[in-house]
Amino acid sequence: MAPEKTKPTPLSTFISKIMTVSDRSGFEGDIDIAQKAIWDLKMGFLSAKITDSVSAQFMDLVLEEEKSGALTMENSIQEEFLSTLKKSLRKIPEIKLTLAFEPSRDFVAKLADWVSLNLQKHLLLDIFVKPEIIGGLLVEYNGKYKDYSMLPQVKAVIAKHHLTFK
Amino acid sequence: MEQIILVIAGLNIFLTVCLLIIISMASRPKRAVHEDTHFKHKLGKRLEEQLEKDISKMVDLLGVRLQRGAELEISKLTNLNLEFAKELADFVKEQQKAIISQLEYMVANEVVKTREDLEKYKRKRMDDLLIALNAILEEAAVDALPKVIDTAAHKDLVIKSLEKAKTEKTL
Repeated sequence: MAPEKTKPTPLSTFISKIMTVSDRSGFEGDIDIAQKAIWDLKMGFLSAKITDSVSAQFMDLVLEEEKSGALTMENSIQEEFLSTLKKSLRKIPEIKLTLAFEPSRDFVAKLADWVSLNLQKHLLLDIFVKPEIIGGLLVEYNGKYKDYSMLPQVKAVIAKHHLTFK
Repeated sequence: MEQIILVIAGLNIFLTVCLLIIISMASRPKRAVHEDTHFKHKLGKRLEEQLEKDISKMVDLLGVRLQRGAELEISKLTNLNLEFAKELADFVKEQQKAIISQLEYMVANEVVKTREDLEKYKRKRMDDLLIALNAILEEAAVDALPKVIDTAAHKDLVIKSLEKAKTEKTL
């Protein structure tokens, strides 16, 4: 008998949708705002306390959690929820990718899908842009670094055809 | 010079002999003096004539010898001067040759050295120029290539690189 799959929670769904380190930083900012807001207003749902102050995705997560009953009006519950969320975000491993061009959001999503599908892991993409690598990418993951860019090949070609007076 | 001294010495001896004769004649007794006055007078005259003749001969002889000696000395000196002048001229010629040859050697060396320096400088400048040119080319290529590659090709390259990383177990 195959093991039963855990039903995704709004929190796990939210976390699984985070694609980049930059996205995570944005949500961490939302969490900071929410943590402050908890104690500004003594009572009420968290969603009410952070209206117009956080990103739409974060607000959606909060609303989902409130709807499911996991997130109540109690400040301590709200505090615990935010603290758990912050810790969960910190735990997501990262992969550093350096590209030669500025990728679109769609392409970043494609990369995230590729990573998730091929590596069977949820990794946060830490994307850097360096046009001087010409094409391809530089990968840094789990303490390993590898140059898959076109720069070494182009340099080799240039070196082969170096101008000479001899 | 020695001849002159000899002549003078001879003349001195002759004069001394004459003086001795005159003294011996003068020292004879007084009575004879009167008898011999005529004789003395004659003798003195003869002696004087003879002396004049001898002296004249000697002076002539001495003059001739002096002239010959002087001519000989002058000739020697002239020859010596000529020889010295010739030697000096030869020496100057040799020195000139040596100096010219030395100068030619120095100039040739300097030309060779200058050529070598120039060649080294030229080679270094060429190398520097090549390095600079190749750096410019590399920079231009690195700068231009990413722009030449279209977005689709970029995306394709990235996905292929990821696949390669997976195959090589970098991921």
